[in-house]
Amino acid sequence: MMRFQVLVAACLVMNVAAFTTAEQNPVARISWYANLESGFAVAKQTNRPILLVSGAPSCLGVPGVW
Amino acid sequence: MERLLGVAPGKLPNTVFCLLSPDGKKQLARPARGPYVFRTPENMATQMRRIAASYKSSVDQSYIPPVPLIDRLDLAMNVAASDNRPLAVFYHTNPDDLKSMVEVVRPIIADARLTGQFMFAATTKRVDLKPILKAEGESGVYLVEPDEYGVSGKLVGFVPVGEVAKQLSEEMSRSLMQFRPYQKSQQQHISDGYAFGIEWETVVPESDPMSVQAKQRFKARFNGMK
Repeated sequence: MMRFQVLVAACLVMNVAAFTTAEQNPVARISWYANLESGFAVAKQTNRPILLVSGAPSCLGVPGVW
Repeated sequence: MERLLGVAPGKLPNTVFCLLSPDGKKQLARPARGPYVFRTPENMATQMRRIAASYKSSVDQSYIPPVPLIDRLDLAMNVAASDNRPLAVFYHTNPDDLKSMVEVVRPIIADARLTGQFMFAATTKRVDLKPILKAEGESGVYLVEPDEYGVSGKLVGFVPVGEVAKQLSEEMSRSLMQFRPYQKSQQQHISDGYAFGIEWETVVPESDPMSVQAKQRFKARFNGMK
């Protein structure tokens, strides 16, 4: 299933670096809406522009990686 | 999506990046496979601030957004594994009680320390909990660390439905402190996935020619090595 990620916020912090130790102080992350309908609903309600990223949670058919 | 992004039918790339107006009708940046149009992260941030400033928010600071639920638990587990994040699963057999529990959670996860740190899914079906090792089927919030492939998950915390308002924030913070993301090599991950027979079929059939061809090439190479 395609993953539709919609962000209704202006700020952007993208950091998906892999850590090997427990995250005592995890970096700030985006709270994504995972389908178009819910993301669009919040965007309309708040009048905030949309950052849309779509993708499938699989690479070459293997899950667990974008 | 094809109409929204102005691509020909059947030609939707498997990754798309775009900025849209709040009603979703106007493109504010040219759609592409990634945010390349901005060239640098700094420029992207500047442009996004400029765009955001041109739309006046219709809600005040007290607005609490809905919980960003992923449609299905198996998909949520896969997304959590792909994002290398833990997962919170809301479970109650009664749909109304489940909805109430999710509403209770809404202000808790709006806390800046927790925003974006977890993936979320909700279900009324006990069978959905099967991939979560040691999940006993009691109503409440299950905190889960997915395996590398998002096929199963380890239960790392649980808050019963009656204690969610009081305990969930602390339990999420605790499990987050102990969370150890996987260090993944994409090539190795894919090779091991084929070796273990772990594959994922998208609900929307994959039509991106570049991706389809790459999959065929990689699989042929892998099969040739066996």
